[in-house]
Amino acid sequence: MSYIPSPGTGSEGLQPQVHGYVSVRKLTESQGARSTYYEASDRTGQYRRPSRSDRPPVQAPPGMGVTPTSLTAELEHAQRLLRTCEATADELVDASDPVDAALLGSLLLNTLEELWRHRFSREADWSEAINILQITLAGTEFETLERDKRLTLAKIFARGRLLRSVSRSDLDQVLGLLSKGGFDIWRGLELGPEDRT
Amino acid sequence: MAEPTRDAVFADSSVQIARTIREPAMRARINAWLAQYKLKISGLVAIQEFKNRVLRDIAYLLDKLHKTGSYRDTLDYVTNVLPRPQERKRNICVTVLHRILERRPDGELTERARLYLRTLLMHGTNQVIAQLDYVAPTISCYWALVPVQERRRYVSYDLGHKFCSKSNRQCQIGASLAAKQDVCVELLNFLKALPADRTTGELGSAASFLERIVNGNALANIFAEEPCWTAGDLLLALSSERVPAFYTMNYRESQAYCDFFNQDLSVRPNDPAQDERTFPKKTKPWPTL
Repeated sequence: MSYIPSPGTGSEGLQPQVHGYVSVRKLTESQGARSTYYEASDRTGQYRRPSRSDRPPVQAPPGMGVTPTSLTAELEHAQRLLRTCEATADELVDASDPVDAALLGSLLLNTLEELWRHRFSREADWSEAINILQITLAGTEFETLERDKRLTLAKIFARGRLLRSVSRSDLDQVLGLLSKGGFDIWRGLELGPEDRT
Repeated sequence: MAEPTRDAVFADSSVQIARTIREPAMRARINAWLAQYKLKISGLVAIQEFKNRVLRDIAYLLDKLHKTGSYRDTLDYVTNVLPRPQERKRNICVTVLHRILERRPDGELTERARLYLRTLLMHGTNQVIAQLDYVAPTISCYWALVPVQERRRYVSYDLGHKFCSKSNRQCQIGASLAAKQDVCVELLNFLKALPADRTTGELGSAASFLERIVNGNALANIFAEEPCWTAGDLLLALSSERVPAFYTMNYRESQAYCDFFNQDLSVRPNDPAQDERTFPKKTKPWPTL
């Protein structure tokens, strides 16, 4: 029996590897070395659309309706990110130090940004929920965020609300929680200054 | 947030609309004012006016986004290519996502705007209603309750009609007005007796409409009158009967209706830096126009 990891698998796959001008990171967090899912960014840090490796994915037998391996990896990765959001929002509720709150807020926003990149792996209502959360929370000063608003964020991610399939009524609930919590879901829409007569 | 201390307020459509599409400072002022009240009430006609005013703009922007395929081009078209506000029939609201989500490429803003506008279009009415404690059903409005239909996601939507006559006689506005016949008679007499410095063209039209209602001529053919379209302020005033306070951005007509219904009137000025102008019922007579 050999314990030597086979080439192309193992911990070295977790490190970003530079191929020419593109930095490639294998997304092994959810599926380990089995993952055929990669994230790439160029030297400017510009994110590129997730792509699969050249390694042929495991093909489901015709008619079995099994999700392709790369999509499964992406879905699992998105689930992990959502759990991070849930934990971060919970922590934010009790963060008394403004610096801690700001750092947690940044983590939440960055995690949402990463979730947005995985929008094609989930249903359209889910993507809309992530989008409106990002729009509503952009520019928020988490240092001074009121407790009511922090609780609202915790409620939005609680009990796997966005983990399971998101329907129209779920999206309605998210919007309702945001509005009730004092967030402005309409902030992306405005009359021009010359129109305010 | 401080606990509300006042009982109930009726917010008209000007407030409902400004609360969603005016600049953040204005929204904050309106929300702060409403937060003083334990019960926030509005009427079905206000919901319909919100749909006509805000949701139609959203559907228009979504359509433009689909046609141009570009957020920047859509914004440019709405702010620069369309005639200026005074030349247009009405003002149009625009998306300001580029200010909120800075340094994003046009492709991403286009996609985000498409999702965002669709979210507001499909869920906006519910959210506006959810921010109220009660929507008075006394004055019926069929189109206010018809949900937005999605024909093709991000592309094609049916918001229903603006006109009562297009409701296929399903709108119960005639029955609502018939049930308020006594109030209509008293209000008509009140409007007729208003001095010239307290009346306006709209109040004159409302009086003519009430006259036709009282005589029964308009009730027989209510859909031809298009009441929501032609007498919206009057219908909202009738919806607000028995609510002790009225909140609006329009003093000209509201001063007469609130005087008649013995309500406290609060007027939100157009400038968010200014405080609300309040006209308690005990300080009547109120200033002339």
